[in-house]
Amino acid sequence: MLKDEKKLIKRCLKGEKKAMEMLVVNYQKGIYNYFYRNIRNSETAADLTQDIFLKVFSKLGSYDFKYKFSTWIYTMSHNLLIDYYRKKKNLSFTTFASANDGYIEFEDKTVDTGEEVLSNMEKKERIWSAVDKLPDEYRELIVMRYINDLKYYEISQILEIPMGTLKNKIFRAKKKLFKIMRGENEK
Amino acid sequence: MRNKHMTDEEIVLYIDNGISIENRIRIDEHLKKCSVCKAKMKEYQEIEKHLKEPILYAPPVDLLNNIKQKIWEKKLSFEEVFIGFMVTFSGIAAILAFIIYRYGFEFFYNIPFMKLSLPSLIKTGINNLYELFYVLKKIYFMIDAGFLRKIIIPRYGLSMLLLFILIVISYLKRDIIIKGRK
Ligand SMILES: [Zn+2]
Repeated sequence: MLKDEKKLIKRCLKGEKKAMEMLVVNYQKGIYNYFYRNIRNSETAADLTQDIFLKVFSKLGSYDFKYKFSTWIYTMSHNLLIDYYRKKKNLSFTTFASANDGYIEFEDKTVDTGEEVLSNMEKKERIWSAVDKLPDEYRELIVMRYINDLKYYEISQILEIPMGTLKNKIFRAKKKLFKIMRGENEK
Repeated sequence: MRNKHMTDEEIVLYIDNGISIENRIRIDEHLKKCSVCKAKMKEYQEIEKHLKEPILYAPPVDLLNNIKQKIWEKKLSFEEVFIGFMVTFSGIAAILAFIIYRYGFEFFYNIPFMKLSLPSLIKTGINNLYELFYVLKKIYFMIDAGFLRKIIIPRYGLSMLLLFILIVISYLKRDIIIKGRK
């Protein structure tokens, strides 16, 4: 764990306003993007991000310094996301359930786009909109690994799954991504 | 056996550097000869490259402020208020007790304003109203208003009020207190 971050957290524990603000600034982008990528709604993502920081400061006293702070904060975020999915699922049962409820359906850009003429940015956008189409579980893995830049051992701690299982899941997520990119919509 | 195409798993592991040197050599050999696997490898590498440079969105501009507002609004628990009160009040009481023990009540009587009668004290206060106002304004701006309202007053407000009452009482009764000692 970064020495500076440890210091920052200790200052937060003393109730230092500036330190708390700095901690929010350091993590808000990552947390916001984690939620936004997973649920594709900026308002909800902002609300959930806010909830996370309120939780962080009310539970900071119980934070164990032997773990990385990022592991701790993303564990809370993961739990909140699961909670959100569950609530949403219950809600859509009472109204009317839709198969695509979890994400926005993007139009398929894979068809008839001369591969070679695509710019770098367009390719990137295509890949990330393919990430949006992944099943919830796989998408979260890709988001944690590449958006939040978490290490494999951190993700395995957050999800409480063995490293081998995690690596296998990430491989499956990438394979699925590859299939979506190619427009092969197999099960 | 050597001519078998690579599996997706092998390709992903190859890119992730999660493959043994033996297998790496075998795959490199195969890639030289097989354009199918080479193309597939290129596609996977392309995906990996773009995943590693993700598109990040800026959080809403008011997010930080909303969070800050919510944090400072957090209500103090009874324990926090009680401990804050006990600590400050007993601290101040200890200082006062020490002064009285060491110098007696005369110490307070020697503070200039204690020598004034109540009407003249009020008169002095009014004459210096501008200075008083100026000092208060300065203190107010030095300490963040929200901080004062949400942290200082709930924790220490009660002890400050009690202390103020004590000072007022001892001022009004100063003659009795001093006479009593003599
Ligand atoms: Zn091949």
